[in-house]
Amino acid sequence: MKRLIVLSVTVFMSFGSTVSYAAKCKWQTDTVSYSTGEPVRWTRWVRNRMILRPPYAAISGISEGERKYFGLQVIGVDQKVTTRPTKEELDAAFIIPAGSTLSILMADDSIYELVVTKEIIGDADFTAHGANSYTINAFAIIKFPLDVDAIAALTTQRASDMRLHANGKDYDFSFGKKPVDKIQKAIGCIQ
Amino acid sequence: MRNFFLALFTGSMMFAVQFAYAAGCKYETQSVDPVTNEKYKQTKWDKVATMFSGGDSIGSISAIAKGDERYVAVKIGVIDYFPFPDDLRAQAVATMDEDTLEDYEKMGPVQRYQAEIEQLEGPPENQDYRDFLDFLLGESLIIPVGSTLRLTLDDNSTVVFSTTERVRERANYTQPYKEKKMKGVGGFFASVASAALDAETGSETVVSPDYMVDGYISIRYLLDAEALDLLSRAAITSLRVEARDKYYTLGTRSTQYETVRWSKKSNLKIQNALKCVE
Repeated sequence: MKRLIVLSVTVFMSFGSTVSYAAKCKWQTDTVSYSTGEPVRWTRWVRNRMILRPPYAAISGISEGERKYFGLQVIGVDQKVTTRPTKEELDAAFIIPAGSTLSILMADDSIYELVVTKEIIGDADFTAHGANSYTINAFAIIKFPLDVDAIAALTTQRASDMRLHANGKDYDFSFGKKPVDKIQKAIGCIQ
Repeated sequence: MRNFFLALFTGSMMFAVQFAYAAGCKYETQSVDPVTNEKYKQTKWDKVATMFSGGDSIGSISAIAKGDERYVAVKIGVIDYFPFPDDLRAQAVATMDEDTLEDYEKMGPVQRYQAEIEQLEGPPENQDYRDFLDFLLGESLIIPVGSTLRLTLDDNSTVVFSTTERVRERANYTQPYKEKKMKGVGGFFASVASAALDAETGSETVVSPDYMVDGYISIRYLLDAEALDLLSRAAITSLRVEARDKYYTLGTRSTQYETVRWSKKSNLKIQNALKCVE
């Protein structure tokens, strides 16, 4: 009997939490794929922090048909150069190879890792500051596939930090001093 | 009888919708080739991004029907900056006579630029300087064959088209620290320029420490039947044009939501333009 009550409460709580997330879900994209006809939904991008010090990240929960993804947008990957950047340099400014990882520091200090499954070539442009001074600005959107285990791991507790490891570099994005439920909310919306 | 009225009603509604599109269509050009009898129609350029809305570049879109061929066309307002090359500056100083050099050394940085330019302009005109100006005028606005147009659709997928022709436009250039009046080009937002609005003309006076190149470049991309079908029903959220040495993204980066996007009204502009050349 006790088990039944615990089970009922757990199910009720999890249902309640999904409903409360769903009720607050805002969509960046809520449409149908032009190629497959499947429903496509991206939750509205939420920035890791509101501090404007690049690079920074924004996250989104993505569903395409039955497939689920965690969307990470990395913005403001700047590079100072002294010669006018070529198109080849712009194309190479921010590449995230397949196999790159996103480590997410969870509230219990465990680390959950997501893996980039195909190479991403970020968009880049440049700003001229005068003779011999240019800034290359790059950004990229990465979609990490989520299986049932990943969804469970990322929705059961809050997260405090993310680290993208790509091309031998670490890009750190903190959510703040305390763990927050931004990832939980984003993924909760696409469940 | 009921079916007849239903069919009549449906038919008249469809006609009304078609008419509404046609009535809303405005054309830049409508002509018939006197020799081949081929019809040519291009819709009016419709702005999809402006620097006033925080975008990186300004630009418009249009649709073209040329006989049986259909194109999507993009026009970009380009403002670009090229530094005064160090080797030219050195050549200018090296060819100054003693008196000019003495005066030059007493000048501030802005006057030095002017003195160097005067020296290069001659007579005799410096050939390297002439080549540099020719580059600014004729080579800076070029879209090579095969350059891409990437459209991002509202389902977050992308489609890519390529140009089948080389496009080259003649640009204007402005010397460093010379004032340039630009109407509606958005020079006010150019990062390296300082600008002031002229109350009388509504234009902007732009001053840059570099050679400033400005102009418009129009590119058209041929659509096959599949692409035409897709773009006739898709909402577009942004586009990126590949030029010879850089990319132009037409869209606004919202600080709140991060992605580069057009407004919801602009999303349907390509679709609507294509309906006008069906």
